Amino acid sequence: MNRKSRSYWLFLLPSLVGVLMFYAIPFVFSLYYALIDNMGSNQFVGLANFADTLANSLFRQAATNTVIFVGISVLLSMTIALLLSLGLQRMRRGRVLATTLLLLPLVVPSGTIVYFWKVLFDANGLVQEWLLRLGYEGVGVAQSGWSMGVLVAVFLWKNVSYNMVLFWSGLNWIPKAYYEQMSLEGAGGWYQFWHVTWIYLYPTTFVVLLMSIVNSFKVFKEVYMLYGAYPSPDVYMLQHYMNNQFLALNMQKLTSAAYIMFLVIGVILLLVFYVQKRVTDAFQ
Amino acid sequence: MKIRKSFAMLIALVLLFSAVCSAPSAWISAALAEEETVDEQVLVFKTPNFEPGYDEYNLVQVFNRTHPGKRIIIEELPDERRLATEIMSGEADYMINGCYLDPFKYSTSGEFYDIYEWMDADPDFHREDYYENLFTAMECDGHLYVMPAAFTFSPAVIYLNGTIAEALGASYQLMDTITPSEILDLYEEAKAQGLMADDTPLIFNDAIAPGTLLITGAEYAGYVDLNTKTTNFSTPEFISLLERTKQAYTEERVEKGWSLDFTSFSKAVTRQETASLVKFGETGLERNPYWESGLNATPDGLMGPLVLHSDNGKGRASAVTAYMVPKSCSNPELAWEFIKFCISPLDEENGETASNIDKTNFGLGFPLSKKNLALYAKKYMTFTSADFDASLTKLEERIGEIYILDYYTQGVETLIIPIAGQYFDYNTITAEECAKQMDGRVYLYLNE
Repeated sequence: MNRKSRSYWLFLLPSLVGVLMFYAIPFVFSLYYALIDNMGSNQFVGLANFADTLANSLFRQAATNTVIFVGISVLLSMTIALLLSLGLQRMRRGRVLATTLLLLPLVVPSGTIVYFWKVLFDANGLVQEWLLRLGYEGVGVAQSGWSMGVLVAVFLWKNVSYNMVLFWSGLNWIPKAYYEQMSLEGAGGWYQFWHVTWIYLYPTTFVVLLMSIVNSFKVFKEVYMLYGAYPSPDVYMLQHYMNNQFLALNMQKLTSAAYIMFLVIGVILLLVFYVQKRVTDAFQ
Repeated sequence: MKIRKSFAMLIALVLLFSAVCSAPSAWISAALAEEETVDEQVLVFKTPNFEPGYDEYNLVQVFNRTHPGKRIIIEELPDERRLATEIMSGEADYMINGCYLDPFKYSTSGEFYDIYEWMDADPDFHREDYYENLFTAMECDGHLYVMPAAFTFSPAVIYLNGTIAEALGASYQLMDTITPSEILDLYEEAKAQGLMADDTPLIFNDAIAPGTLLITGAEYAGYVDLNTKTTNFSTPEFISLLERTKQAYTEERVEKGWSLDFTSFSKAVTRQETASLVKFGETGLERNPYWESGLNATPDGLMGPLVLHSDNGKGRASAVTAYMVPKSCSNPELAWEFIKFCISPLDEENGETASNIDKTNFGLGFPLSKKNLALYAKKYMTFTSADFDASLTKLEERIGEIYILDYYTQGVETLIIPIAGQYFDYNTITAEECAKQMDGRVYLYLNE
């Protein structure tokens, strides 16, 4: 190992130790728990826990809800973020103010955001109060059939600005000369978007997609604060399933579910990387 | 070279520091070990009631005195997180009174001994000596991980306003059962006949919505099946009950908080100061200084006490305490012996009597042992000799109808109370939606 690569490793070491100690090694060790019947007798049961987990109707329901949530929220957050970044780029005045307002949810802690939403939409929230004063029937939005909608809204509010920043930085890398050239040749805005903006945004789009998928799997904190450990079945997520198994000390169900989720997310991410490479190669 | 030396010194310092830190606990352990005689069996029992004066403390003293060579050391139960960590890491070398654990939640972890196995393997233990339905009420998938040591009917005991009940022609006897629908029938009839003013609350002197009490007091027991892990709140009967109960909801409730003091209700009825129909009470063995009357006596002006049942006839009670033995306990035999000692029939041949040893154990609770119930009924209850047998038989009937021990289903109650609150207090959901939400959330809880 030469001096240069030694210094790389030295800089990497602190975070590498943390990742190994608190993530990688415990995760590998946890495979043991997924292969035994319980922590009391420690009998090896092979893949029985995985089979049980896959057969568990609640696990399947949680997985379905998670897929629905990820599908809706990733698509919406990317679309809205792209539109906002395009809008910001074309803004002549008030861009700083608009950007500040849009970035605000990013710096506000999730707990505050959820509290704010609860104050607005809870059973005894402000919206409820206004509706009742106006003579309408009360609707506890957070508790009603709109629970998934509320969750998507909270996610978007928190994450759109992050995606917007990524898209915006991608847009700023596109040389202005291309647009000027196309304008001179009479190309319209739509044509310019598809043939310049979209093509140059491809790499950024994959990054945004990747980050959105990862962030959407991290939504548990918000769901938990909004709806608790046992929410309406419509918003019962994989993280609920796993968190509740952890609190119940059922390490077998927890670890088998975690490994299944790990494999699925791994496959999705590999797929995204593969598509990205193919698309990039095609453009080059 | 210098870096290597510094690393070596750093590691040496860390090792030295940990050795110094761990030394005192090692010395203490060694000193304790020396204290114990070679043949003595020792078991640590962790409970919140670990100080002198508590029944559990007294019971441990009696056990230690009457079991030479065996010693229970009573210690304070750690908080839930620490307890869970010790259990999971295999360091829980003790038995516990897991009264603030959720036994249903922990039951699938495999971390606790199945007490049924001990019962079946012990020739000295006879299930028929106990109210077996209470074991069943605490079992999970055919296993018993939690041994309830005693139980009460609280808060499923009702006192009716005698003046109104008699005017309506109701004739409930002591320890009869009553259902939420019957209470609502009486309430609606009393309103119709003008015996209760429109703004008079159904329940005397309580800030708690009648819905919360009627639903969680008994009714939910009839709609939760722990064996099949199913719920059926979304039935026309339950939805109708929700709607009728909401009619009994009034914002004019006297905001005096939850109280089991039925004597003030008795006085108010006698002085004609209230037209409220019911008061929730508590009953176990009559040891509570607050009580002026026991399960077997009707307070002046009232009708009851009556045991609240669900409309489909299922009873509910509260377990007073819960013995659980983690698999990391190194002396499970002694744990079983202690549990057996706490719940078993009094050994009168060896001088155990209801007066000198209190195996009902925890204050207000009824004992699990049939024989002990009779002995303690004599000791604590004011049954007259004439009606003693009849009263005891009736009490045993009520005990035999217990289907759910709410200690075991506290998770269920925690989930349904806020949903009921949305329907009764905030008007944000319909009765159908309320029932549907209860079904959905409780199903998740039971089947994860």
